[in-house]
Amino acid sequence: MKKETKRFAILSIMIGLSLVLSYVDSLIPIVVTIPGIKLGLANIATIYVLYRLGIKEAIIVSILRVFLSALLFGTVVTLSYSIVGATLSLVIMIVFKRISSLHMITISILGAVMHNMGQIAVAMFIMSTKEIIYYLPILVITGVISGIGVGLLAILVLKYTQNIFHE
Amino acid sequence: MIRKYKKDIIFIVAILGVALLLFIVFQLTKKPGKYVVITQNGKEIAKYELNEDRQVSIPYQEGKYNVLVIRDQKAYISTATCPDQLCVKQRSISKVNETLVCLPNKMVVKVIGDEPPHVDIMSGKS
Repeated sequence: MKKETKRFAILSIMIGLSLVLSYVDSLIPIVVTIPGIKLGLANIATIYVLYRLGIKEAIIVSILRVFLSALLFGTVVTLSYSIVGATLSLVIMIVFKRISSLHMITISILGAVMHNMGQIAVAMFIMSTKEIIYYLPILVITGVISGIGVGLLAILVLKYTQNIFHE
Repeated sequence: MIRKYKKDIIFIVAILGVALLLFIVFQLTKKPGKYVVITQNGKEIAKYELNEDRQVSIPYQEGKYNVLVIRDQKAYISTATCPDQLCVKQRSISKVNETLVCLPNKMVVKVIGDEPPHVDIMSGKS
């Protein structure tokens, strides 16, 4: 298969996968009951594409995931949350991947933490209640934990798909 | 192994450290509150005293509401129509600036302290 065709196929699969993952994410109940907490499973696909295909492709996957999942499962309100969260998270991951030699798991943690910070910022804005910032410490900590999990999963996916998607 | 990921470990510990520091600062600056203020869509719709036990239903849209209970100086949401039920699962609030948040119904219940909430800066009157 031609290289470009293969990249295009991987990209399409990952967009589909990230949509399914963000749906699964919304189904998983989380014990800690704080608004905005999610596992961020869709980030597995984003990180995979970022490391496997590149920055441009990761941006495409992120944008399409945000808009399509809002169209399929969300509302205008959830769209504003996920746009800000996804943008911040992707920007910080791209920047730190380029300028530092940090491990993939750390990059994933940064993405998750920034995503949560974005959620808090939007919540503060939408509800014009600055006290929502009190949720920040716990959201940072849960971001670190879920970031580690997502990072580990992304590493596994990269490892086990090496042969399938061999270029 | 550890040496190889030294930078990563420092990074993660720093993030957690900042979060912990913020948490401690937030906890130390809490004071017991006097009133709860209910805001919906950013607008204040009601205010209740914390030392009066009561139960109020806060309507949002047709068929959507949250039930706020004030008991023993504490406020919590007992029933909600939102699908995630996060506000119901949150712990009861009683200290200044603590909040109960319901994202789907755009409702925030906030504890405030002694001070009158709407003081006119120019005249000093509420």
